[in-house]
Amino acid sequence: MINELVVDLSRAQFAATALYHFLFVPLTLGLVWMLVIMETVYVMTGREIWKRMTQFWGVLFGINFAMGVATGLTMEFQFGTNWAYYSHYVGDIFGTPLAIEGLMAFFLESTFVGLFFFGWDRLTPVKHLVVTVLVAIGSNLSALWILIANGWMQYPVGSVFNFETMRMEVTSFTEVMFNPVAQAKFVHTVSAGYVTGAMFVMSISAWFLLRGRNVAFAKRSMTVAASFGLASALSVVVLGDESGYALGDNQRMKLAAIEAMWDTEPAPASFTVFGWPDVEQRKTHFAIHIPYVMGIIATRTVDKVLPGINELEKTAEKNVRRGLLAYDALQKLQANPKDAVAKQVLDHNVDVLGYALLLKRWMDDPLKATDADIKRAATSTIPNVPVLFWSFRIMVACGFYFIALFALAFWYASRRELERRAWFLRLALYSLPLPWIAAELGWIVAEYGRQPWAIDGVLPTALGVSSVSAAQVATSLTGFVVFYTALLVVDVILMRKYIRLGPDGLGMWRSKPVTPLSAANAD
Amino acid sequence: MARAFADPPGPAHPATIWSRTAVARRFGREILFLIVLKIVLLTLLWWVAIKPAPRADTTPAAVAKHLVSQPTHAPSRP
Repeated sequence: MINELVVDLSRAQFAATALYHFLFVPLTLGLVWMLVIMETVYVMTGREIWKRMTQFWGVLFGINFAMGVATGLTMEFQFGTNWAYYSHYVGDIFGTPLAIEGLMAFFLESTFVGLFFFGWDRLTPVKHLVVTVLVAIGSNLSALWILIANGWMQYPVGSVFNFETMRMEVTSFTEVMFNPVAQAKFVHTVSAGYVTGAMFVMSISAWFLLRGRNVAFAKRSMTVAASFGLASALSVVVLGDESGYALGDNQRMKLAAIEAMWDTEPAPASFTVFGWPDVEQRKTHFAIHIPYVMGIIATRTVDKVLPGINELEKTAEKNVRRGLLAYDALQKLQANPKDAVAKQVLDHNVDVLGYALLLKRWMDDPLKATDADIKRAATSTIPNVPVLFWSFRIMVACGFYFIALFALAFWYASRRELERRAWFLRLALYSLPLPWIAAELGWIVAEYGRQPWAIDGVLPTALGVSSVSAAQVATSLTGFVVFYTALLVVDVILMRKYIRLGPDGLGMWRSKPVTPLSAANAD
Repeated sequence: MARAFADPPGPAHPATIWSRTAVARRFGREILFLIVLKIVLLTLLWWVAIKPAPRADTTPAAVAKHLVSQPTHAPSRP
């Protein structure tokens, strides 16, 4: 039997470290391209201010990089410590992109980030720009390989189960690499990172403008952020739509849960803008629908039916029953590896073996499962509907808000009116936390929505956990929470200190004294 | 009150390379200290909270035992 407490604590530990790590990742992904843009302008024009802009935002990039680096490493260690069975079962596939990420992308990024900081007076402007571009490529390649690994968890392709080694093995690495789910997740995630970087630059620039400090510096920064942010915010929405394209049954379940679509609707299904999902009654109260939208997003057609939660639950029940045939055959093969009939049965039903493994959560021998047990296993494939429903809607609302905000910034920047719009500058300043909220909610939709699976349809999360005690996981979880909270406090203090110093306080530039906009507006 | 989109007065010390200034050196020291401190604390966390835990047996036989029960009967479910 599975120790549910160990499972929950292990999940909480991984979620805590992942959520913390993901506070740094989007800013690194986005800010580095802003540095590339600013430095390119410096190389092309030779104007000193663009170099100083690159250096100042580079200082903040450095703090973020230094605080974020190695916080993701603890997640990789957890695969061994807390998720040993998971690592054995899928390590052949999952480990490869992670290894490539560490060896290729992370080393590329880390090596050149040193040159970025210490190479200003040692490299020519063009060579230094190449270094900055390589840092940007390295950080984005890191994201690519991580998301290839993650995409495989969402949609396992290019692999097969080997009953002799009791694990999944690669059959086509090309399929793993070009997994459509991974590719869609990559472009959506990096675009969200670009929005985060743009918002960071725009908000801090707005703060400088409101205080009348580093005005020329802040106006240029804000103009770059507005342009880059607008393009990125539009990309996030368009590429997020690609993520909504459901490919497998389990992803359809996630999609139905996001929509709180309990019953199958005639094609094309509508999109629920607002509603109140009621899990007990399996209804969505006060639902406001936009006709056709969901069906078109998820199936790319107007005539394909998008199954609802209740129908998918019935499919899951059938899969559990068929999975038990595979489970039974696997048992026989464990006793006699030369059992040809059992091998044939396993081969025929191996695609749903994971569904039988769902029963291991409640019993040692799934073959003794009653109909009620099978129904319970099928019901367990429904993720937490209200959490997904609201997380998704808040994320999407943030996405559309970003488009409006950056469009407005772009308009004011084009008309050179940024400084005169104190209300807008305040709005930009107070919007600073929103990209992080949207990114974390996106992560919750993707990963919490994958439950109860570690690998969709293949390995239930509960079976991936190591045979460790709850006390051991609780101790390490406490350690991580205390340590990461302290790191977060230090990060905020450092960021605040260097932002308040500004380029003038850091001796990069002499600020032209002007009347603070907030004071001018108060008159 | 429109402000011109003009360059600021200029670098505080045009001849100075910023990365060699005292403030830049201090920044470098702070970041280096934080990275080292972080690695030390993570190592400490590893030694105190994670290393003492027993390693899970992930040989194929152990995984088979973990995932698949030993056969007690041979019925096939419909």
